[in-house]
Amino acid sequence: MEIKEYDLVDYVCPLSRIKAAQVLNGLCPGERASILLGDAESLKSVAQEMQMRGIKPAFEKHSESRFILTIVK
Amino acid sequence: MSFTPNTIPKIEEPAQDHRLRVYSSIVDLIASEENPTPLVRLNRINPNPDFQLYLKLERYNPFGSIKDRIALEMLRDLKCEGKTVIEPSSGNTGLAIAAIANTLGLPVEIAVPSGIPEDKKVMLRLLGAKLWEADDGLCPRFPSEGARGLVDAILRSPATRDGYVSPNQYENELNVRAHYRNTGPEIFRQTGGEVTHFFAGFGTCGTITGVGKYLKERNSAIKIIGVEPASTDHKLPGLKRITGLPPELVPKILDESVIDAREEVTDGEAYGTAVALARKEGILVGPTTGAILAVALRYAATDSGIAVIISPDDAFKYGSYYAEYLDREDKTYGN
Repeated sequence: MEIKEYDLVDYVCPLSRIKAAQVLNGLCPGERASILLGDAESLKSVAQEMQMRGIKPAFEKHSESRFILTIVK
Repeated sequence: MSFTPNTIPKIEEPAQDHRLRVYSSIVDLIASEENPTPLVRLNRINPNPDFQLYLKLERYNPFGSIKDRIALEMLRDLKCEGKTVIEPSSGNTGLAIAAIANTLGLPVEIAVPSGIPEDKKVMLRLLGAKLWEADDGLCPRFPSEGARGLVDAILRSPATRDGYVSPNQYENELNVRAHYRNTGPEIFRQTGGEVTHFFAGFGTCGTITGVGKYLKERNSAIKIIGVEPASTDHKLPGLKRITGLPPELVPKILDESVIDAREEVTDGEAYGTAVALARKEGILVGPTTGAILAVALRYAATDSGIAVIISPDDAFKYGSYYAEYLDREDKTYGN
């Protein structure tokens, strides 16, 4: 299944969280997406948002300024 | 010479004849020493004839609150350069900024706490402002001030920062200046210099700092009393609990040296006092006025003199909040 990619590296927390919530709202049930984030604060905050919505994201750290969350709605 | 791209007509030039009340722009109605907001004496709610209480009714500003004054001052000086104006606000500053920006053709976005009354959100949308709603707990950098944290993030994010400019009422000295140059002199003049006490809330702290500084300079014996919510979890939009805040979150424009006392008030006391004011004096005010007046009434038990109490806005934007209070009252007393 295709994974939609969203680059939110240029959004800092909590704007990144709001953008990620908008991404999630735009997904259909069962759809997958990967969200690229640029800082640890955003990662924590976006992961919190996903958990509040009952979604457990998979997480990958590429560098100190590149984190990827993969989610399935 | 600062860059001033915003051509808001200065209130004092050309001189307005406020007796005729003919104006070239709605912003000319914003209060000034020549066109002050009214001071109204309270006659039935106050048991102490030796301690006269006067409400300064800021609702008579054209966009409905005390924030009209600072919005005008800040927008006059803002270097917009084609950017969108953005500001965190519990409503009143947002309304004033949106309205004044409309007269200048500037785009506006306002970040509001999601819990503010729906009435305020409708008014902001009516003015064409784009709304960002933020839960209070949204941002770890500004705990309990999610809207402020969101605007901070928009101004720091590489993706958005070049498109926005913020007046930033929490750090903008023009917030203080608006009250130092106008609200303070108005009060001194309206009371014939006889004011002995001044009561205002802590929020951005522009009012208490600006008015307090002016009044202290005229007469250092005037008592300046600041009012804050008794807890951080409150329903008094625009008020902030200063006690216990880490220093980096205290508004930078607050000058504690002009403040004689800091007093706490509960939601119940604030709403109860606002309702009593409506029923005894026929004056409809927002809950923040209730909070400030509640503290002034405590002083009425012991003090004498002439007190001026800031009434930041009116009751009409808080219908849903008052409905909750009145419903509880009905259940308690079986009305």
